[in-house]
Amino acid sequence: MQILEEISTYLQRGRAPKVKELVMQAIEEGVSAETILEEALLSSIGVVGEKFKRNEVFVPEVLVAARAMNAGVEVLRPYLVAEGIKNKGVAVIGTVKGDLHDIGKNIVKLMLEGKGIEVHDLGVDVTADTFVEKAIEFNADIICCSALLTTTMAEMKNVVLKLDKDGLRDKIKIMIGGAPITDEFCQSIGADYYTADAASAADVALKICKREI
Amino acid sequence: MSITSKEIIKRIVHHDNPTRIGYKFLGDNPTDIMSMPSVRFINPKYDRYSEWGYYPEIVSQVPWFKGEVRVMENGNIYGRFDSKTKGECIKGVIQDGWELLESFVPPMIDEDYDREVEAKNYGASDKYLLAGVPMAVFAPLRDCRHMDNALMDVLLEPENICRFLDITTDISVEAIKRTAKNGGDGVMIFDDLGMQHALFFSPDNFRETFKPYYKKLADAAHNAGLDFFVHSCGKVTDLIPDFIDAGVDVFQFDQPELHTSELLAREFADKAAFYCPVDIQRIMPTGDKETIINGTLDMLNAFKARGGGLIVKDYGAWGDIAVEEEWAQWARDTVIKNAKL
Repeated sequence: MQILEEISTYLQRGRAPKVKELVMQAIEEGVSAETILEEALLSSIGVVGEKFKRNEVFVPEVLVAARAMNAGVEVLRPYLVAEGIKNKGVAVIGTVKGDLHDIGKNIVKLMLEGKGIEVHDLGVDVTADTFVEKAIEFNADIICCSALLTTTMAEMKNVVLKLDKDGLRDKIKIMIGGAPITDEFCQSIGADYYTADAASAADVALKICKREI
Repeated sequence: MSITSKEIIKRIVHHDNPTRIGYKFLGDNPTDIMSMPSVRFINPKYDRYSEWGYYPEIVSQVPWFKGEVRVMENGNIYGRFDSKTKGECIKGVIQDGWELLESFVPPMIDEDYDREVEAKNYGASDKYLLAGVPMAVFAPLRDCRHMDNALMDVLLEPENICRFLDITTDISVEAIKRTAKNGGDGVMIFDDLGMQHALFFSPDNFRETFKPYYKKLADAAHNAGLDFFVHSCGKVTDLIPDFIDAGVDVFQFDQPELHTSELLAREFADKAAFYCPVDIQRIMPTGDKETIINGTLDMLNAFKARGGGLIVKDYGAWGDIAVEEEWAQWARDTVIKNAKL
């Protein structure tokens, strides 16, 4: 369908106003919201994510494409509700207590949204208690914790402990990431998944939501 | 007659038959480089918020933040959670829209401080005098616009970025001139342009938007008789040729093994010098004596095989990255023992 291809092209170029306009046009032409979401918006941001993973595009391209996708999703939202289309899962995301760095967290958020996952951004300096409280409130499948500092990454263990204490480890998975984080660290604190980049995080998050891992 | 530390570093930087690898170590350890101040910025518009505190009119601009705040000279709000750290930028002065650039009041050089620096007669030192210029190229954009906006601006607002950088780099040029007047040998700017695995933006974007401003600062340094150092964290290997083309003399990388010392030496040691600690991520934090000594030797040998081009330094605060003093001493001892070319 040509209009879906056009949406895809403009989305990958980060042209948010044009994406909005074309999504509206597609709706008016009778294309279903689910088709627009899956075949134009999510598939296109997926292409950008794959290119990012291969270092063919960089953070700015991801940010502007994600912004364009969100602009399209906003137009679609009432139609998705009307068609009974649900998100693919729910995640809460934040930078851990004591840490104010948010660029990595923001990129992961955008990439998760690009997979059709509903993401609740808790911001920076998020305590373990808040991560777990919000995950319960939003009925989340995943808690995503980010840290840039070696001095704050230890807070991630408190999230694991809190979730353990509340008996929610089987229901909610914990993903961690950030410059000082390694797979060894992930295993040492008992978190579920570490990924080295935002695109891989989105892939893993989607598998969690689909119960594939 | 033995040559001075200053001469040793100048020979390394200018590829003029250096006699040994240079070093800058902290405390009572031997050092060829001495840090000197460049300039201090002031801004009457924000001076009353320069100390950490809980100013209601500032806190109200960042209602989500619960710690102490202060406003820096460029108008950005910084926050911190304890009384020890230097804090992070939590709201940029033009973050909410480029129209705010019209009312942007840039920082000014503190003339009283400049006179104090001049009076200290740093130029008399036989050490190489290196000053950090407090305004780089990408870093002020990142803070003033906030990182996400700054990165999108690279694609969407390159003209506005240039308007901003015209202002900020004029200030840096003046800071470079002051450093030369006060006896400096080199100036360094601190920019981070990469993540662990990739650049923030493409080399093409760097070339089109940012490179001219690095050239502007490099030219200012060279015209003032100074060497031009650039710090960056992250994997910026692909930018090195453009940086060299812009006039960068020395790269300060704290993670040389992200690029690998072997590659830096092989590809670039004839065109630029490197001012690096033994890798602060992959080697020093291991705490393993053999790993640290071998890692140090590998770096030294890579550059010695290419005629030098290396100044080994201590990281600014080993304790902050959980590296013990004893481990740092293993690296220092290895460098000093094996520095001769």
